[in-house]
Amino acid sequence: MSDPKPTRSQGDLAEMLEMLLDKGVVVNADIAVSVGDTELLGIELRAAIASFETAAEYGLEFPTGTDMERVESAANISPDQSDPASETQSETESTNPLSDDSTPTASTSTEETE
Amino acid sequence: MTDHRPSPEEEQTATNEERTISDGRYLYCVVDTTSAEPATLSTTGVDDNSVYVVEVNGVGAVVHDCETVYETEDLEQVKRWLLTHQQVVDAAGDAFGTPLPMRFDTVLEGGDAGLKRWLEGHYEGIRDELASFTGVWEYRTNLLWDSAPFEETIADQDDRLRELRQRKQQSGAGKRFLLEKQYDQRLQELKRERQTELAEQLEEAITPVVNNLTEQDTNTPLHDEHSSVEKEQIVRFAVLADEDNETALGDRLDTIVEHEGVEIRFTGPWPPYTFAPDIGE
Repeated sequence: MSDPKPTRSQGDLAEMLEMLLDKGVVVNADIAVSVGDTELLGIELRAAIASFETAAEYGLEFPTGTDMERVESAANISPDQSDPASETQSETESTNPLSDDSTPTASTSTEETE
Repeated sequence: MTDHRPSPEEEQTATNEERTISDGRYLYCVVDTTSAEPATLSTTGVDDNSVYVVEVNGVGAVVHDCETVYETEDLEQVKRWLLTHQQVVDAAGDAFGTPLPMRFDTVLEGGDAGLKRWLEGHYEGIRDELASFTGVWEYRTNLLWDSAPFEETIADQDDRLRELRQRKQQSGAGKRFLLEKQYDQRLQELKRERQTELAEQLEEAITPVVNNLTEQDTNTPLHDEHSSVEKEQIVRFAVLADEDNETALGDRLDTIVEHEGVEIRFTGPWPPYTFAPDIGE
């Protein structure tokens, strides 16, 4: 069964990366520096992504029932991951001011898994 | 004509490969600053750069100073950049409301002055776009389907499948092989029909509570631990919805999940990446 609330968690990482690389405003201007084809990069990246290791590395949320010990031991926690201090990174705060429980979880948060 | 001319992208890549950047501004998103406090964002940008906002009459560009574009062969590095980029856009969205998100690695030259000239040059268009996205966000709905329960049910319900099965039992090996093929073809046909039906039902269910809907390619290698091996991705929609409709959207997705074998992945709220316009000629 699905959860009626939208999520931004472990499994959604690939989707986010895809959006950043394939979508978004493209600036056509003389002063814009083109980097070439980010979409190709996206394909390469997606192929290498969203493993349990990746998710654990970024402290993302796991589906319930995941063997966390196995995941954590498999993950190489990246030392240069700064602790995201921005207010978007808390599960208790919503990125939109809804009063009920439709608070999405931030995809890049360093939160306790459930 | 058959002569191959390089695409605009190829030409651009070729001309920019060795380009040094003068007084670059890495651009995350453009926001409406009219209703927010003076612009400081409590977040660090890509490569630990300080993020700030350059404003022109209530329109702000969220940027950091840079001397280079971000290119690397190291995918882990790319991932870190992307995550940081999104954190900045999230912080901007929190502070200023729905942002106009740029594609990753958008850099403008010419310092703050150049950036301001660019904002002024496209001021009306940007203002209109920002206004159109006020209070709305992008959501993604992916429909996954495990066909096993359907296959079991349809085997008994479909007359043609039942007939083929009976004939198979009464046939010799050679004939049986052909009947087997026919059975598979019929089953595939029925599955395709069912998939189309599910996709249509999903679209029908969510259309009343979204402002815009666009189908996404399902042939992306989005293999992650979230989706089980047995489930096939049937359809993906990117939708633009009012934040007040988020719960209604979720409830409507739940009605689709009641079908056997169906799983819906519902993600968001995202900045309107899929619905973002291009800016410029």
